[in-house]
Amino acid sequence: MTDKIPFDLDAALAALEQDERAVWPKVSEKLQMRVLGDAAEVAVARARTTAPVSRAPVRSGGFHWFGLSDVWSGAAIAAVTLCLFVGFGVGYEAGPELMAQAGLGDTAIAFAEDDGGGFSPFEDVL
Amino acid sequence: MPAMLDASSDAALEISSADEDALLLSKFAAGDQGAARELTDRLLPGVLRQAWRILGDEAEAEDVAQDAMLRLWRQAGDWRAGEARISTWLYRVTHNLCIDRIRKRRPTTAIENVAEPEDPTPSALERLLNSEESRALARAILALPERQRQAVVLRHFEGLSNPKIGDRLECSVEAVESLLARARRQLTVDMNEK
Repeated sequence: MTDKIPFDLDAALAALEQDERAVWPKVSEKLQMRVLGDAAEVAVARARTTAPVSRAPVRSGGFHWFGLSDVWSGAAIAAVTLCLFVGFGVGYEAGPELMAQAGLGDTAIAFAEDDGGGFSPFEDVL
Repeated sequence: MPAMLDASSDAALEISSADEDALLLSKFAAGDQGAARELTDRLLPGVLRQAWRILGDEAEAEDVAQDAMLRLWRQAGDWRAGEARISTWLYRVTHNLCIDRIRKRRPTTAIENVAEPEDPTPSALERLLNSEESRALARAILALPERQRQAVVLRHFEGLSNPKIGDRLECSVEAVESLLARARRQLTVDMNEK
């Protein structure tokens, strides 16, 4: 009668671990290059998406005509207002004559009789 | 007492290693390519081994390892340090990628068109082992339920501590101890029968 030798699991696992270690796949240079290539691509893509977008500086409050600065907005608005006043002034004086020349004499006369000469589209408003 | 000291120093080493991985990943996210190289040196061998053990094919294991690392690079910008360990996250990603590969391998042809079933293909490890006992033990490990097999591999082949195995498998240390105890009992029974 022979006694069976009890199985030593720890010893067998240690031996198997040693065997496995001998045949472990090694990280090839090609695989390393592939992995690092991916890392570089991801880094480039991230840099592209997170690059700061150039923007005009944030303006302080106030009205900015067509994006002009405060000073230029003010100047432009003043110039346009002046042109309008001059234009309406000229129109008020020369209105009936110009309308008569344009074949609208009756209308001009009606306006002229109504308020004593000339007309202005903003007459009531003014 | 010395065992306790060993355990605490092991845990400290694991924590510092995890911190170092997280630091390197944040450096990579900030554009440091040197950090990517260092992380690759630290993590890629383990990922490759894990995939190789599951898939049994070196070329496929390389593809999975590359894919897992690619996911890590993509995750770098959103990584929240302190919430999870990189090695744990990578272990799960690799495992899932391997399972996906195994599922894709399964034939999709109709059952009547399938030829005679082939003998189960031995794993890469099995084919390479010289000793009969090692081959038998490798087969017995592969036959274990998945969680038990993972616990045995992480403990005896990756040399991880029980807390770290629990971290990887998302279970308590007690559950790891239980998995290992059941696995060892089963392995002993299987090997004694041979």
